[in-house]
Amino acid sequence: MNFIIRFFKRRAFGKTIDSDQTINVVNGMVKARQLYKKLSAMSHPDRNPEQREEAEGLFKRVVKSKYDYEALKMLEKEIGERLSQI
Amino acid sequence: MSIGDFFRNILNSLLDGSFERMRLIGQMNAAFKEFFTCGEFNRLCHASISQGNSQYAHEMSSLWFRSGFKISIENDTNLKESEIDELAHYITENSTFVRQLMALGFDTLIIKGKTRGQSKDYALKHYANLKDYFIA
Repeated sequence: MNFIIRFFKRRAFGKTIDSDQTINVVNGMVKARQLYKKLSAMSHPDRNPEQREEAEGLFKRVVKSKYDYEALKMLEKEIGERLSQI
Repeated sequence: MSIGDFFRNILNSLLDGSFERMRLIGQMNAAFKEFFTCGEFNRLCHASISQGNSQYAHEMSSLWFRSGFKISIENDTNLKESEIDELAHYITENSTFVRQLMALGFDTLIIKGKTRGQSKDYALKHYANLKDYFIA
């Protein structure tokens, strides 16, 4: 009986998951640290005095995504497009 | 859904999600091995099923002896506690992955150095960011 209840709870809970993150987690462990360092330097407001506000927003997002490799990869592209200095 | 998928799902449920667990673990191990062999990562990690901490159990937990998700670091010379914490962060900060693990019946994340025995465990339910979804 316990097994059946658990089965239905897992099914319901499984619906809150929107993507498979397995590879993203491993990629993060291996590559995110370096990418984070690079992006935090690139988007730092002090390095972008002419676009300070925009850089601040991007920098905050980089810090928030420190452990999420996929998000950092997307931010890399965005930073390249939006911050002209780079 | 084909008849094959239907029976595969039933069998998977009867085996407490074992097919899905093995797929996830196999995928992680293949990636860890690849990154280590090509020199991108200096630690060789190995994911496996282990016994969990019964204090961390939640309503979807498997039996305690298979409710732990363990990552053992095979080459653990000079392994620092901060390094273990950092590896754990990549999992605990990713609430989707934590949910994935919980839906597979895991309740404990264990990160352990293989030879020197340094180990830390984490309760997955504390990191799932559940908002209005209640987990006991």
